Amino acid sequence: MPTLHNDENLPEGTVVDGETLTRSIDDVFDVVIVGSGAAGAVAAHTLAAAGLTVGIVEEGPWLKTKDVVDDVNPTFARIMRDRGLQVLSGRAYMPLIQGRCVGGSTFVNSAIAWRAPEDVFDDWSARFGLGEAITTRVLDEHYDALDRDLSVRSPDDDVLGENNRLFVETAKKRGFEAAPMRRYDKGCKGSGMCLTGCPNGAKQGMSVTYVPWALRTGRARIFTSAKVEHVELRGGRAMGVVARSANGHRILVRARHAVMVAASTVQSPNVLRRSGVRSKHLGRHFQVHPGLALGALFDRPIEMSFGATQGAESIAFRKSDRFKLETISLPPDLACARIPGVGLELSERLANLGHVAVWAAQIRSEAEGTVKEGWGGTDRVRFTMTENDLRTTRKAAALIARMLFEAGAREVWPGIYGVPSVIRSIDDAALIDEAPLDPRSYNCIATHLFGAARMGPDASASVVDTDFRVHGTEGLYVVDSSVFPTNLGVNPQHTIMAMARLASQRLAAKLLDRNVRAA
Amino acid sequence: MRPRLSSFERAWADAALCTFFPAPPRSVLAHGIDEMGPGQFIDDILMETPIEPSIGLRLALWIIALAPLFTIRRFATIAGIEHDDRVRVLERLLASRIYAVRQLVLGFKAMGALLYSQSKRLRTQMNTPKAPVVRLRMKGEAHADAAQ
Repeated sequence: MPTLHNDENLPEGTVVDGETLTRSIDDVFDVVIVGSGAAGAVAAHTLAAAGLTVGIVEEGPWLKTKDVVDDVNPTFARIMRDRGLQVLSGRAYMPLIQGRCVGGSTFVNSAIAWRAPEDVFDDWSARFGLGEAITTRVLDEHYDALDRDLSVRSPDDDVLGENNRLFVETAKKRGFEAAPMRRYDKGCKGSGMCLTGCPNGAKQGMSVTYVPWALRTGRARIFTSAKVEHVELRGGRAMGVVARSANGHRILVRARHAVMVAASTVQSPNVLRRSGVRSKHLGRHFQVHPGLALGALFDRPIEMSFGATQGAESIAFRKSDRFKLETISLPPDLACARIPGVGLELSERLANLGHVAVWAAQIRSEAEGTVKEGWGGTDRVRFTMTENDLRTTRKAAALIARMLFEAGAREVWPGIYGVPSVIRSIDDAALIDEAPLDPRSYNCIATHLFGAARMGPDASASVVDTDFRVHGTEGLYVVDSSVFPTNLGVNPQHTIMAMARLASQRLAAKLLDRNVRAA
Repeated sequence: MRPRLSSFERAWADAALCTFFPAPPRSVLAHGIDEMGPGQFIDDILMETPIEPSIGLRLALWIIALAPLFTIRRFATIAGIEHDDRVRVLERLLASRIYAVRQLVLGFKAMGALLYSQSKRLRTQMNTPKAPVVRLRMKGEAHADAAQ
């Protein structure tokens, strides 16, 4: 009997598909939410569970678990923004990977759960005046709830995979702490397919958890393949959103009480801007965790295709050096661009993909960029790593190279211009120590996005207040990572969800209290 | 309306991708990209991709096409030279001092990989560990073998 996944058999009328819509829509809810990713989904469920009606407007389609395939090209074409070809510009281009589908980037990420370190919140309090608004103590109950709801746990040993196991073993031999990752995992079978969606429904992304849970309360509806053009503001108050379906129909979703924007760090500021929100800081202070990966060839089998896609990590260098180490298993479609060679030489490496490991670093960069809208409504993101960021990147790359050789690699592929594309001895890792400090020398990708609508008590220095409300606008909230004053140095999904849960619980309490008083 | 690839552009795309991912005996993998319609794939990607990446991909194609002139001093396009020379051209482009050139060509290679990896037969061959690992020839040996 085929398994029935949580994204199937949804209540009648709860999903309106913008690809097959036959007429314009005019609907009304207590709260309207833009986006169904980590923040939007959690907010929707929290509000619906509290008794409020919720309309979710999601730009992308809903790819169901039963339709997941392991081919990157058709998958990315369907559910990634710009089919995965979006880039940041600056002194160098950096691919920017964002999901554009129900569940957002949680559909294609590796489901890694990290509570933000306390020093991050201390910094937010001290430098950005957040005081006690966002602290570990405030968020703990939300983190705990998410841990339970999303089955946060480390992968079982039998699905950890050799790429991950070897990383932990090598780190320990080097004398620093590494461990299997905590992930949103309900029965991972080690398919290694997180990046194209879990075919087993084991990865607890939003499309198989909070979105269907919200819909099943009977108080929520989602409009998919519907792009929000702007939030309707009248007299300084958010009245709803105007969206356009993929097949061109107008979708007006009115809000009785509030609009919550959770469209991601790139799209949320642009939605606000199109809606007439004006702030000196809107679109500024955009931050990233640039990610750099090194591949290596071993004699022993590694079989990246089996096991947790990202299953092991170390934060040993987070505070001292501002980077976090991780493993990542790449399918052939994505690994190939990182494998040196052309023709026969490339084919020999590809034929040995079962002997390849890929380890990576996530850099807590200092640099800040900007988010704007370009011609034709395209997103324009500018970002350039600082020299310090590049020193960090270089240091992390050299460490990873050494670790790979210590683990038994016969060749390592640094992927850094100015360093040979293939190095064959641990001594050659010293060449990475001397790599150019030029952003154009490194092939980083932009993972984890922050800022561009940051939080703060002072409207002259921030876009939203400590209640997530856009300064000077009634009923308009932003609840995704665009409100974070800084990046975190660890994977942000857990904190994004915890903050969205906090924001929506507060809003629910306020609205229900208002309703009680009105009654 | 965005223009489709012309016949000569398609020939360039075929030549470039068949060099990156050749058929045996120029490859140890089961088959090359030639039997997967590489030119058509690039043409379709250009139509489906937003305008800016589409321009970048087309620019990459033209850089590769005309590269024999400025990399190996041959007055011919990529489709008009022998396989070994094409390999040399692509290797030089990937190692170019000019950032835009090496990134665009790497992007082109990545596009080819998206097509090539769709072969179930190849994915199995790639992902299955070998015992012992197929010995990688040093670069000079690989070219010498291919020339034979």
